[in-house]
Amino acid sequence: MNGYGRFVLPVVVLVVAIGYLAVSTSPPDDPPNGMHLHAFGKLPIIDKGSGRIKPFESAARTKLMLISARQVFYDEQKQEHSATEWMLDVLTSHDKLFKNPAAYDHKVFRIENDQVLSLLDLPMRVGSFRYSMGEIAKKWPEFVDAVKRVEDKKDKDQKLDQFDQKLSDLADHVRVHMALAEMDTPLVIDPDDPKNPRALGDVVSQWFASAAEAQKQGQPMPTPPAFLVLLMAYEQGDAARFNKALEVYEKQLEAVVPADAHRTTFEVAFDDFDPFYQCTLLYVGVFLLTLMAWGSYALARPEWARTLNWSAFALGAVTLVVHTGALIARMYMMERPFVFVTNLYGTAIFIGWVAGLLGLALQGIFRNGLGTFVMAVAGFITMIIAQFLGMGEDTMEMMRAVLDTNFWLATHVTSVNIGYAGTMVAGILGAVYIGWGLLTPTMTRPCVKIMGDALYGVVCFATLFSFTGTVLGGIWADQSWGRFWGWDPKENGALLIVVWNALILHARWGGLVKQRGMAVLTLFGNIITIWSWWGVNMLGVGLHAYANTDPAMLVAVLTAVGIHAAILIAGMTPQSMWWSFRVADAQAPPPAPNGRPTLRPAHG
Amino acid sequence: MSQTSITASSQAAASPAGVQAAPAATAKPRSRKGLARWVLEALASLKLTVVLLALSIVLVFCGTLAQVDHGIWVVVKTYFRSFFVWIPLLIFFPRSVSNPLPWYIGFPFPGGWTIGALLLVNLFAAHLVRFKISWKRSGILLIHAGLIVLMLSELITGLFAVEGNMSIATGGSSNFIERTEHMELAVVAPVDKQNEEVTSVPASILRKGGQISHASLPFDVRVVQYMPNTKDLVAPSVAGVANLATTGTGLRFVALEQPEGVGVDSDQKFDAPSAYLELKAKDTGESLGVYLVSALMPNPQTVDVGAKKYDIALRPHHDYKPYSMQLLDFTHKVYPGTNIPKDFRSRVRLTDKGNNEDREVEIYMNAPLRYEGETFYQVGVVGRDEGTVLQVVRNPGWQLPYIACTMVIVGLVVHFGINLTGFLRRVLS
Repeated sequence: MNGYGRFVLPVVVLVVAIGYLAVSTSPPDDPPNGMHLHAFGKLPIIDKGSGRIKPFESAARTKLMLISARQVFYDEQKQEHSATEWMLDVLTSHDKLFKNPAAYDHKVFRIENDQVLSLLDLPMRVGSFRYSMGEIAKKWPEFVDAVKRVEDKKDKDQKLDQFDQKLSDLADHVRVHMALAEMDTPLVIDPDDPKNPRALGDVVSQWFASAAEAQKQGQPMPTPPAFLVLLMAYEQGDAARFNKALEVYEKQLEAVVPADAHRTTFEVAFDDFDPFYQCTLLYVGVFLLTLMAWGSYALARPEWARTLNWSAFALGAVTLVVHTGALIARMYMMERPFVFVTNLYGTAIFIGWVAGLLGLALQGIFRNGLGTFVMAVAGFITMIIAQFLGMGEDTMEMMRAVLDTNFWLATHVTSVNIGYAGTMVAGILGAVYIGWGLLTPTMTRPCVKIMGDALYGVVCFATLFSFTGTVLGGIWADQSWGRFWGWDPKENGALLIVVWNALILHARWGGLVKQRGMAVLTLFGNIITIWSWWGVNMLGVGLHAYANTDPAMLVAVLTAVGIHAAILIAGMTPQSMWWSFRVADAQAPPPAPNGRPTLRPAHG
Repeated sequence: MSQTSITASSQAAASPAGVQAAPAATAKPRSRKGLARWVLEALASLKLTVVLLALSIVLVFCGTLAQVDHGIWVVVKTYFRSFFVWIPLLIFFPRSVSNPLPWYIGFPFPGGWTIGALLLVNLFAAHLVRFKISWKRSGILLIHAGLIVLMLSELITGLFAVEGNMSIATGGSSNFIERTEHMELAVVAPVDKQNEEVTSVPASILRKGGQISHASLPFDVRVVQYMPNTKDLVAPSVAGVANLATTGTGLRFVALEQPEGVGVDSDQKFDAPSAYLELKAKDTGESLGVYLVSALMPNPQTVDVGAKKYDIALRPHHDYKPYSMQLLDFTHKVYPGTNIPKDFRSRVRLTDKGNNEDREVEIYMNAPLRYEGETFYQVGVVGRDEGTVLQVVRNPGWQLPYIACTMVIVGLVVHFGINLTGFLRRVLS
């Protein structure tokens, strides 16, 4: 594979990736004669409790995800239907104003707990686990009693067992359904008074009252509000009327709130494309290409490795473009330029992005798969965490007053998270060092040197940003309540990362540790990062507390810490046990080929 | 603990592994100059730095865990602004399990002052011994100088910063700051409609007990019982303790004592004291009754001395200012369809006759007012948006962190920049 031959695979990878993404961006279209439900999903509304103007579709997906753990539902004929359709059915199930029974038969409530099922006298539907409102309502009194018992327990701060917890979750899901059925949410925009969105239920009942009044007086009926016309047309299955009303309402909104209308249209396209899902797939691709490159080294085929490394780099670059685009798109949708992070979900997607950037830079410098490996691992893990965090929640919630400042969100929060990302990348490099040296015979002296340089560079990077971020946080605190440093748990977590990185650097400068020692120390740095990022929140105290101790999350955090601790302990085994060093001791270290050390095995 | 770490690290510094230690000095520690040099080398060692950084990590970690049980201010005092701290083992276990470990099973540890001071000594020694002024070293010099300023600012804050509150009802005005860390017994006599005369006895004097007499007090005060921290006022029938009060609000409430430094609120900074005080007529020594005064009581009580009426209360010290603030307007905005606050904003009129100041200011989140050495921050609301609560901070060192951070960040960029360009040049050539 000489000359231009080595570019063939990278170019093929690039073309395939871009082609795949292009296909994924093409939006689903509404049937010309049926109801334009997809277009309807783009209408701006406000979901009660979130305060954000968002598309109907997005609110519907979030709710359905919460209830059903997926964003679509299936009817009896196994036909797929959109979340918009489900939410429309529930909104028109109001028994006084509408009479659409469909919502009661949609099997959307996911119930897995056998005790909850036996309370409701429902069969275990293995595989689907989904039940309808009508099925739950058959044992309504029993259900209400059981929920009341759990609520009492909660009020008395008693511990809930698993059954209680699951029952309480189901009760929350039923409440979501009921809030919709009573039209308590969403709040809709009146084109005549766009500044004051009102709950759909209020709008509708007010019109019915005035219509009844007009009828009594013998006057002509007042014009029904646009959303009501849409709901009535939907209930009657009148596609022509529905589409016409939709067109009128869209035009009105376009005239009074153009920015919001454009944003919600964009958001639906964003959700349809689902960039973070695409990134997850692409990161897996980068990972596989990197593994193949490393395999080629092991097979003593450095020329294969080179072209595979370039392919991984190319795919990594495409991934990063998608990831970057998605972050910028979120800034636009939230109207917060340069603000990457506004909540825990945001930290996950942002840390993955920074790690990807760092990984790509490392790959550019060392060209041995190290960088793409870091990128793929960090990217994949953070995407999974984001997926988990975003489940059934609006990932673009509004910021409380003190947090509502673009300047500090863009500076303090961004640099702190870059610091987290740097520390995490250093930890992954440390794990690679340990795994590579301990379990393979291929880590030669030049490779050790490379790893040491990469570790050192990344730790410097992490120190710079975690320090900057932490003190910017202090300055923010001084601006908002006159305390530069309050020893709040989250502040302390950030401080720990700074001090730990400083410790690594001083230990290296003082000759206390070399490459291996740094690798072990960076792994512990990851444990500190996990604690600062997640553990601190679980203490449930302080200004930054999210008071969210989901047992599943606790297990996840402990598992992550356990894995790091295991690698760390493995890293502390005597070097005589390390495969690479046994091999290296037996042979003279080979010279680095053409001045650029590679992963070439010692015997290659 | 810190002592042993110095010795341990100085031995390590003398070993060949100490790359940067000058071998000539370690070889001859006997001569006088050599010994001084040897001590300096030991104090300057990077191993000592690493040990101190590790100790500070343990301290910060424990100080964070301890906040589950104690208010943040107690923890700051015992862990970070102290020379030594006793760390109980129980902080490492989940509190939901009924804790079998008593507080005295634990270990002593150097506190924040100790570790900070040693780090400073280590830093100065290192610069004395090792560092020369050169462009390559400029970044490090700047970083360390910045860190010294940062540590000094924390010291100045710890020693001199005072915090307080100013609450103003909408339309009303205020000319004093409540200093919650200093409680006092205030005796208020109305002079006319606008003014009143305040005589105050600091809580520290009440704490000593005995009888208090002073020319400006309209009566003598005998301390029957002083409780530095109380958690609640309850009806005497359910209190389970004898009621010492013979008159006033104390007839309806009994104060329940709790240990100092325990607060319900994690951000509660100060204790809420209560006291039973017997007031005596100055001339006859006749008892006017035993009153219960408490920081937990929202309103003062009235005492009749002859024909005159006085208000008494145990309350935060009122720090009167030559200027006053009138709350013209208070806004509390929420996001539509939610209770999520979007904005708190106080429009106040600042009047200071001495300085010829009379202007309107807006104080809102992240936009404080700085005036006459005090900084006013929007922190809370009175009741249901009936007024504003401003946090007032006087910190003579407030500018230092800004200077320090700039120095450190510039230093880090310079130092890592020099390293990175050198490295990249090597790799790419």
